[in-house]
Amino acid sequence: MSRPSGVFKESYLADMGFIQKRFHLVGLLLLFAFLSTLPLYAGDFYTSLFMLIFTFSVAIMGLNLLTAAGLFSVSTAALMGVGAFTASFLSQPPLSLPFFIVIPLSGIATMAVASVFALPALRIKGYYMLFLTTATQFTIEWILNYITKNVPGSVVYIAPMSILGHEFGMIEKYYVFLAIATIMGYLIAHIGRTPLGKAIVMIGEKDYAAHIFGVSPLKYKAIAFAIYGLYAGVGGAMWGYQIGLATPEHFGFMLSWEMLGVGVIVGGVGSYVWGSCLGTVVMIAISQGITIMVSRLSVMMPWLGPTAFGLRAILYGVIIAGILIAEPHGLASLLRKVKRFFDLFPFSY
Amino acid sequence: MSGLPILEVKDVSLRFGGVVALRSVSLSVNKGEILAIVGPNGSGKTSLLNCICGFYKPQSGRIFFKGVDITRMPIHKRMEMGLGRTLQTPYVFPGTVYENIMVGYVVRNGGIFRNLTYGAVEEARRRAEELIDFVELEPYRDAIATELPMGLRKRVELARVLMWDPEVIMLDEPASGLSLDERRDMARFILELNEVWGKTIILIEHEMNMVKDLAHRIIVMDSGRKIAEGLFKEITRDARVLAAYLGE
Repeated sequence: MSRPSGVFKESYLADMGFIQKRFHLVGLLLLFAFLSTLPLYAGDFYTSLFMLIFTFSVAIMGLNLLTAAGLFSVSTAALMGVGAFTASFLSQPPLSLPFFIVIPLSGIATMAVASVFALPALRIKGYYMLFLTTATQFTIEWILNYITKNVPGSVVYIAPMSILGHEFGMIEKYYVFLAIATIMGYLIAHIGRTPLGKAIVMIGEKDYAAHIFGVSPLKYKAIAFAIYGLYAGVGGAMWGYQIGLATPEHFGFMLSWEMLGVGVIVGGVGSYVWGSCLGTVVMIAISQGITIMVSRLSVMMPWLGPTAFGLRAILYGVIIAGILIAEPHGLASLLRKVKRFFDLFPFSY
Repeated sequence: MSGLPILEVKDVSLRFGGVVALRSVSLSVNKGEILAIVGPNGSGKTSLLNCICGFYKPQSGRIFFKGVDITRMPIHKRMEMGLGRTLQTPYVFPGTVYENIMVGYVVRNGGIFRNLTYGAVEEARRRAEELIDFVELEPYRDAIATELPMGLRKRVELARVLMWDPEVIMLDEPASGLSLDERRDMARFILELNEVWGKTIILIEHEMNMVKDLAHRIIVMDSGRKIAEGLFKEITRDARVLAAYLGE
């Protein structure tokens, strides 16, 4: 990383700030201008798609941090389920809490659940984590099914978002989601630049070597797990408010894998905000795009019959592989290249 | 120069299955001195350091630091008490140099919520910058640490250890793999740490000229035993030391 010339910082905080040059600010403002005017001209379909992107971005931010700590987890979807079920419990009578209390509380409750399941995980790392979190995923799914065993379809409902009796429509919900995603994004970016965030990255490489430098792997793995749980819980609660109901089936094992494989790895491990957001965009936009494409294809080529839906998975895999061949460190490195290009603009280096 | 013993190792023995790495080694380190530990490869120098910093648990013997028995204490607690060590192959993670140094802040400031405040970030960065100044890494503060050459990575590691201001610093071969210039710089840092900052230093080194110039006292080890202790001119006359290095 090169320090741009002509930039003079007067405090260390400014030097570590997120906005280093004027074009960073311009880019960020353009992005917010786009996102905040989107529901005015886009239809319901695209608005809800973007809400889904905000929801999963939040959950994937936590997963990205956990992956940076060297812990691979495939139980994100189950933890989102915990968040959604907690939101259902808190938002329905008898408690009937308003959404701005329900969402943080769901995050905290999921953080507690994640910490319980993290206890054995703190002693292992790397690929072994995949086995353990697989078990976590299925255990939580089973627990959610057990809680709702008397309900047909295991469905729980989440009260609609409202404030002082005024029920929120799609557009108002969209802005709430945008605000939550912005706050959570800022928070994780801030965690990333503190010494604590660096300690989490440090144990991700070689935890025993980090221990020699006084960074207790156990403690920082636990912190990473707690943050991961918090983000997954908030994401789950957002999901619940968007759909209005939740069943354990929504939070399946494949979704967990998709979030790790596409959301984090394609997005870029270690780039907590932009990597996660880009990964989520790929995860949702491409899967939606392919679904539309395949349904058109099956109309054009009726002889494919029901096998057309098998093509969806194949196409998805090919696109992901293609992205990873072009950008092995994820889409976040593409963003860095764009930044660098504008940084040095008339010159190439 | 040398004062009371700050670190004492008493009859420490360490075995890995049938291999005996340390055979009841005892030594004491005085406050404010530079103690060099030398010996042929495999003589147990690094194992001894690993026992002191807590990476290995010795089968018998006790280790006292500032009068407290630390034999069973976890590594990060010992670091918090004021020990610090660098590795023979420096460990840096893929982040910038200043980030690699800032990490040391959490050792003595472990509070989670305290760590997330702007004040803590600013303080950690300020101290990291002071240490970047000390180890002369200013041009590299934004470089990715894993892409730096060995000599600079060793400085990053030294600065990180200094972040928590330890009283005793254990340096495991600080000059191995360094060029002559870099070795001179490293020797200068060690002297400054000892004379200006008042740090006690335990130095493992193969480079005899460096040991001769820096160390106040030298301990010679061979196959897990301490075979000699004293000034440079004393140990070079010791028959057992000559035997260990040159053969009978």
